[in-house]
Amino acid sequence: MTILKSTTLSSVMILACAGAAFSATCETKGGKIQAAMTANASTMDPILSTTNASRQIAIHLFESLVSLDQNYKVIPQLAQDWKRSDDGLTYIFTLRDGVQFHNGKALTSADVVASLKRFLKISPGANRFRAVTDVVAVDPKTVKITLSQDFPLVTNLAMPSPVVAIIPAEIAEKYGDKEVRGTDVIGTGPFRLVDWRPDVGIKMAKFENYVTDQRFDGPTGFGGARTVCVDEVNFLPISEDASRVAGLQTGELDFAEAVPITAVPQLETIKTIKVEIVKPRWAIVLELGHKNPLMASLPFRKALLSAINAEQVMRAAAFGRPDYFRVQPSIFFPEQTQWHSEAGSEVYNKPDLNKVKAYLAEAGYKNEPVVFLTNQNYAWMYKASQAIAAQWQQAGINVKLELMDWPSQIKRAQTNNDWAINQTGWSPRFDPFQLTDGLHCKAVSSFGYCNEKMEQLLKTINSGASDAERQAAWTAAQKLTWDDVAVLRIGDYFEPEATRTALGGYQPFYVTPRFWNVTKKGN
Amino acid sequence: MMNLVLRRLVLFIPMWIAVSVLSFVIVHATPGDPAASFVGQDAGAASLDVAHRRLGLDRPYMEQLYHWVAGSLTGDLGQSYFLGRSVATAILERLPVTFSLGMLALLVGAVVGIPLGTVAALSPNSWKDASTIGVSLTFLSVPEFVVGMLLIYVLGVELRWFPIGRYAPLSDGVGLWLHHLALPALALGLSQSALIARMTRASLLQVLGADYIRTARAKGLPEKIVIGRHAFRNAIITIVTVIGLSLALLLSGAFITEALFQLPGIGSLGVSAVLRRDYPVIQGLLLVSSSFILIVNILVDIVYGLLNPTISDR
Repeated sequence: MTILKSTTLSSVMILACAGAAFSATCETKGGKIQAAMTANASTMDPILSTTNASRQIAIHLFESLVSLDQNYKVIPQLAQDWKRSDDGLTYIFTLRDGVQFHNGKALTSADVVASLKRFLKISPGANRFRAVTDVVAVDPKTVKITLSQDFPLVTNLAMPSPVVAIIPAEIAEKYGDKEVRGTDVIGTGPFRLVDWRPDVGIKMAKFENYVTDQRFDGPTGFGGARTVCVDEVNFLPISEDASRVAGLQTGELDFAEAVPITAVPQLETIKTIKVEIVKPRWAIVLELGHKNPLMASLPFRKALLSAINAEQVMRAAAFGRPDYFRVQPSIFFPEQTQWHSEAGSEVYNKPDLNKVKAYLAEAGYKNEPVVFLTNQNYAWMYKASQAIAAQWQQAGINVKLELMDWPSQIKRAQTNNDWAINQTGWSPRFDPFQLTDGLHCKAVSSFGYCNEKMEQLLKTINSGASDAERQAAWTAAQKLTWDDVAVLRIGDYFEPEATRTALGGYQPFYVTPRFWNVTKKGN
Repeated sequence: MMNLVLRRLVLFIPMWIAVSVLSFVIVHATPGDPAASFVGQDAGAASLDVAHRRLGLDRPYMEQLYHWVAGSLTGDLGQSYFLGRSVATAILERLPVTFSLGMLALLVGAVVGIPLGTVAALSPNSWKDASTIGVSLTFLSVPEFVVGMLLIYVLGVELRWFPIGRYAPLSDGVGLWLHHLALPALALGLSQSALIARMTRASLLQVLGADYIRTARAKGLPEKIVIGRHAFRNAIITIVTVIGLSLALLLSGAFITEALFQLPGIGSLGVSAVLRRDYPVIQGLLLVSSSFILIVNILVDIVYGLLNPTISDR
């Protein structure tokens, strides 16, 4: 019999409460929030997509056993608590009492088992859970998860991309590997789905029977004690930047995601509009094609790095507005205190043409063309690429910028070897195991990068080792990323979002607007 | 007449097969991966494999092609990857928007274009002629999106007379529906009016030079009847052709106008489907729009017959 130990849940919860910044109750009730988003969600099935657009919807409609707080730490959500066996191979989750689905059914362990099993079978996030061998219901309030190998199970369950959503068992069984649709889109979240019309909008209404999680003082991160103050929220996909700005000005919109930086000065002159900067938002990153013979040479990669003036690049990407970028070397953002590390960053943002020359000579570079893939779907990516290409050209590197559209670029980067540099942006990672795909030998997205030392570090990061051990392993991995020039991280790019002052209590967070504990004045 | 319509209808079948095969080949030849768009930019390779399997993209090319063509022949256009519904449902949901916009734009086009063209034709080479042709040339050469943006800025943002970036279905009331569609219909209709005005002028001028008009005038018929009954009736054939062609184009989606005004019609459906590589929707739309062109052509033939009985005998 394995021995099960309770987690240090109380300490987790104290931290969570400290992070709560929203008001815990509603000053006014009722009203409708019109929120303009840049992209369409491609599905209402919460577990099928990792896109921002899907997550934005899913965190309002669905809940998981555990979630993340304001400081990106794990907090309980549908779970009352959990116990981990000493060998780390068995977890027992107890469910909270009184939780209801949108269709009025009470949450039981059968729902959790069916939802997790479906997730493990068809979700793009399933590969993180390869070591899960079984999920069973012990009794109506208890679920047992068995693993073949110790790994950070609870942190993985808390990841919001995709949300490990709990849905009613009969719906999980009815749809199986098909996409859940229509009126069957049912969760336990504070909002319920009313209507999804692609390209028109997603209408959600307050879930009247939502039971606020009383263990928290207020909302925090993706969870906590959430209370819905408005009657309705409409997520409207408005891809045209100018239309989002115009809608805010006319008062038809209450919230606009990613307004263009160039429109900020104009918006700031309007008293009823508040512009805020979302931090963290994007890391501007260059992925390197290590299968390319030139890129396989470490001196050549070092030459590329030594030619980059990160500050100049970031300035170009952010239209010269210093509030919208940060020159910073760590893959994890400074806000993510647990994982942020500047190890190995002595080489970052130190442009030195003499060094470039020496490295190029060492690599035996003979002016071969260096193919650099980029796109205009993301204006900031394109601006960064142009600035970097100019710096490399100045340093004597024959770079060829190739412009594609975003889906074609992803496809080419993943299937062809005819490129050297791939311009991309990374959204904030929550835990280092999410970097495995980009640094692990056999991963498609590591594009041929392979280092035995990195493999060992990733093994520790993906194991059930203690927080301290995993932290040390990540610091070493971050240093190795710079030593090996595995990828090139250029800097942090932030985006403005704007709200009308009629929205009370709205707080920007990560890349996801949250409309619980937000009021709408003047109804 | 029936013969003509039947002959055109028979053409439908080979067209349907040809367009379904062609659309599949073209769509699948474009680079890009729908699964990558669906799953998201942060997704790893394993996630993509799962999504490929779920969307049926892991099956052999020929099998996918056969499945699509065979399905389309029975009227099954497949399931959208991104819209959570079948392609047929998605298109049917969008059709009323495109129909509304197309009809209103055509109305604007005809109401503005036909009188302008007539005025120009009745006094050729006068200042009236020069100014109407000048106006119509301007509408023709300034792209719809420029007119659209001007309308949005002046009537939407500054004066706030019209809502922007939304649509109200007819079921919400005719007033609301018109209010929401006025700006896009104007933007789209003005460029159509230019075309209609020019065609009206040209065809009316040609007819006015004909012998039977001279005869009618010589008989002492009043000018109203000469123009209205004799000239216009004959000139209208050309105008109907132009209107028919415009209609076919408008019904297959005014891509730019719909995107600019965020109208959820066929055009914006097409644009977003291409951007995210929603193969079944792109294929379905290509089929539906080619069918529209054919249907409108048949309708135009029928109208010809009604307007000029000699045509239907041919």
